[in-house]
Amino acid sequence: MNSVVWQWCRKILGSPMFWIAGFFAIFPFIPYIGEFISMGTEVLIWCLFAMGFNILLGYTGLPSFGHGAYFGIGAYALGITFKHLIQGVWIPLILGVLVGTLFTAGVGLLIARKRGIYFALLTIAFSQMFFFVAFRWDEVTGGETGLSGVDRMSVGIPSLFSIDLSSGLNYYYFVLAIFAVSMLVIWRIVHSPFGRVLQAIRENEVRTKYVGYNTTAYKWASFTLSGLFASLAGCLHVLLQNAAFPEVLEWTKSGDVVMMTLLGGGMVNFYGSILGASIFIIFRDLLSSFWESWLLLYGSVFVIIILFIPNGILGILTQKKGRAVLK
Amino acid sequence: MELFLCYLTNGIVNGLIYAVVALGFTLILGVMQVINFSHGLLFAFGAYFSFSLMKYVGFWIALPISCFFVGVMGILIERLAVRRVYGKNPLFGLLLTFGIAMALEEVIRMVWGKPGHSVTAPDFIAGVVNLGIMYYSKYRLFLAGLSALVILLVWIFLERTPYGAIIKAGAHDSEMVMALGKNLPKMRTLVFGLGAALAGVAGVIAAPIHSIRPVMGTYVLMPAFVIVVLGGIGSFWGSIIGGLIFGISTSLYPGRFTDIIPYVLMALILLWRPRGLMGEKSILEV
Amino acid sequence: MKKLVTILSIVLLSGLLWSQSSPAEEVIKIGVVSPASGNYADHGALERRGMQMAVEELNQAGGVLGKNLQLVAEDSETNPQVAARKARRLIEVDKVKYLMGGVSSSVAIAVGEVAQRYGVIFFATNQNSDTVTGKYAHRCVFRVPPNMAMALRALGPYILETVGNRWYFLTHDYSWGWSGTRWARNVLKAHNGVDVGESKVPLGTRDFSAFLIKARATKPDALVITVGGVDRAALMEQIYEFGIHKDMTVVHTLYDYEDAWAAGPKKNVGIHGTEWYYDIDKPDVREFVQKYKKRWLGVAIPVPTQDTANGYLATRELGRAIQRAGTENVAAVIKALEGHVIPESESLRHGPITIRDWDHQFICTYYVVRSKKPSEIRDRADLCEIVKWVPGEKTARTKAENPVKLEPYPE
Repeated sequence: MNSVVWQWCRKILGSPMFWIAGFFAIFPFIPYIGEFISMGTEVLIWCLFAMGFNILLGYTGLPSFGHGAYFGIGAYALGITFKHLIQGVWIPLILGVLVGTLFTAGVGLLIARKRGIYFALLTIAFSQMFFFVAFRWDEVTGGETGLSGVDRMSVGIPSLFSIDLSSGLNYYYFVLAIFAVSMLVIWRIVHSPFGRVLQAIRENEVRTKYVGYNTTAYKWASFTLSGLFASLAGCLHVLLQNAAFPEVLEWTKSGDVVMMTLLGGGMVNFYGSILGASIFIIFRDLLSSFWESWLLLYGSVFVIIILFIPNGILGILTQKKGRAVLK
Repeated sequence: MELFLCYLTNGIVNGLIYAVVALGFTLILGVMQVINFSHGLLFAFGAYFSFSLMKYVGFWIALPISCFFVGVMGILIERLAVRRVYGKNPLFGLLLTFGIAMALEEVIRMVWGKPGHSVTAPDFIAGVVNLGIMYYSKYRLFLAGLSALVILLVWIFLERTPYGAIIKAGAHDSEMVMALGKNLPKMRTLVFGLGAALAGVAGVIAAPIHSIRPVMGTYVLMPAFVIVVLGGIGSFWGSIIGGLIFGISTSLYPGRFTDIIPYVLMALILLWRPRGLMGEKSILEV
Repeated sequence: MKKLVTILSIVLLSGLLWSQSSPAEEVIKIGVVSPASGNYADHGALERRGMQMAVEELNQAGGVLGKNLQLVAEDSETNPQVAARKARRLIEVDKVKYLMGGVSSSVAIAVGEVAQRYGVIFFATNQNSDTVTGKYAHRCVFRVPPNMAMALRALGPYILETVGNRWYFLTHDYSWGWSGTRWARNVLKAHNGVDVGESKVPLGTRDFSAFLIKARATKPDALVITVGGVDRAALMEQIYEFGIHKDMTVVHTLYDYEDAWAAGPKKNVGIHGTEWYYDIDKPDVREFVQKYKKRWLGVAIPVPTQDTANGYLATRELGRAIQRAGTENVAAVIKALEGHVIPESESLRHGPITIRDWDHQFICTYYVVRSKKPSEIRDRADLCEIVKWVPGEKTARTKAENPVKLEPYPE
């Protein structure tokens, strides 16, 4: 009996997930830096996005360069629901994720057969299409101005307790909770038999097909799942900044999440995308406040990372050089 | 009806210039399997080089020189960076050229400044001409002719010269070409330079009708994507037809959602012909 | 395993500690969210120069409340999403109480929203949409440049008198463009003019040939253009290319000097409305232009533009308002700004500027300029001639036209 509990404790304590969640949980109480709550929230949201994206990129090996679109569609769906249908937290959030996932699933049907370059090209083209819709359809999306005034309401059980999310700290913990649950779910997904098939597709799609798996269906499922987490992240992001803007759907922004995943080493380690997103969000802003011509450095950093540390930071640290995930 | 003819003319002219850009893009994509995000920046560099040169030597000399410079830039990019990602996941080439594009955009701001610039077309092709149905810009007609000429030259190069044969073979089976003793790395460098030069020439001839800005490259990059998917990756005629489809479909009904039409067409064509209009089953996909 | 967590924490900690700015010296920080990249990078550079000049001037004169002012600039990338994030960062990390910047209305609206929620002051320095002081007006947001109502009511009558009453509209197809054409139509209707047609130009259009062919076919007297940004720059090239200016008068309802400068003397044609022009014949403007030339030797555009003037005015007036309030408290500074009148002697234009208390719009004079012919210009920067100016009191929206209700004062 005792040993079972002990083993569970060991298992939990030994998991980086516990430590990551723990670190973020005490983050607001760390002196000096704990005050930057909105940045902490932003980091969490992008970590969530990158983790979900990594199901597709790192585990299935499908290079999407247009995932900003699903982030954005989720965001707009939440915003439009909030402004025109029903105010609240849960219903707009669920609808937002649902709509984002449906769109991903629809696009997935068109492109799941593809892989490699063709897949990448198509994801870019579709994200650009959605961008045009969001950018031009003023009556619904607010066009260039975006949708603003999406307030954070309270969550809770009526007459029992209620948490006011308009406070930055409360919202931080709300996002953290969703982040932690999602992390667990994604971990389960990629370590399930389903996840193994995805990895098999990454290693050799033809062989996986001959073994008897319907690889197209698996690829579609992987794409849709990553879209689900993308739209969830998008929804949380709208609530963070109380507004949705079309720029997130643009292809130039879709590069961000790819870079985060790559930078941290999402290709070789489950936690790489979390590390990558954290570094990316914090240092990108520092770079741009440091020098007016920061874009030059930023572009060069991209080049250097791709040429010299293609497996990302964890790729170097864990020294799995022999196992380059992406050929 | 008259208006329709105007729009059609307009669409064809625009389509031809898109086709030149897409041609360079699809060459690089088809032969090296690299999605070149810096293509738009090379287009912008063509315009900026011609802006600087035109003050001294005039349009006709500036055109080939700018084009040559952009080609050299392409060769440098390939030699120093892009060749290291051949054969890897396409995302690497994509992110690499994306990074290069961002850095180059800032280089433009540092060299030529943040405000925009403007160049003027040579006098004899300035102004308008009466086409019977409408007054049309002489420069656009010239532009269409020049684009067609460039397209013809590329066709001759690919179909009628030994280099063209090697390039096409290299795109199909690189190992076999190497086994036959051809210098494949050199050929790839050449193709990248050629693709870049095509972007450059488009930039030079488009400069007098677009204000020259650091961000002008994005204007042609996205169309190039759609055109290549529409027409089929690596297909010469695919990018010409795709370019015309793109040009015409965005010119016929000017309006708020016009820009979405090519994307919808793209989705429809993909349902009907998964490899694009002229795409053949290639080594790029199963 | 734990290595991973250690790395993560080290990275986060070091990053955030690094971002913690310099030791607490006695300065008043002003956060600037202004584009250094993206579509409006050129405008951003010019407005930051004006702000810098104002800060240097105020500091030389002994600072504000005995403290020096300091600008903390962040690149908005001409992207509302990024701008909002940078604004939050400036508020949380740098602890600024005052923000300014925001070329493009969408950026201003995004930053304005953040400012209102955090209770800091935001000066929207360079954008002209009616909505910034209309639908999206906030207690904490002040807007320096005029809006489209002021622009068209000043410009419209002049065009009717001197050019003609058959107008064709080119409208940028979003809120700013719509408001320009709406006000233009109002003016046209009031004077029994003829509306011969309208083309709505989608945002991000670079090829205008179809619109221009259509416009020419209707034979208007004036082509009234409310198209902005990079799109306008391409439009100006193509107006010249198609020779449109030979058949009708080109009228930009809101002319930016940056675009005129980029197009050059040859392609700079027509009669336009503009916020400000460096050749305004007033001692304070002449002094300002001289100072600019001395301070920013060798920059791309050799004269200050409307962006520079607005940036300068916003920063100077903020500094003075803090001084008047005698405290850095946000509510007190807002109260010191509301209703304040900047006298003509230092308003950098004809007539005084009133900071209206109920919508926080700076009420200022609007100018009508004529593009000079290449043969008339003195130097490369000499592009326009002022032909008329109209005080803002006559043109600004009344309370009935713009029923805004600002939030209560922040605590």
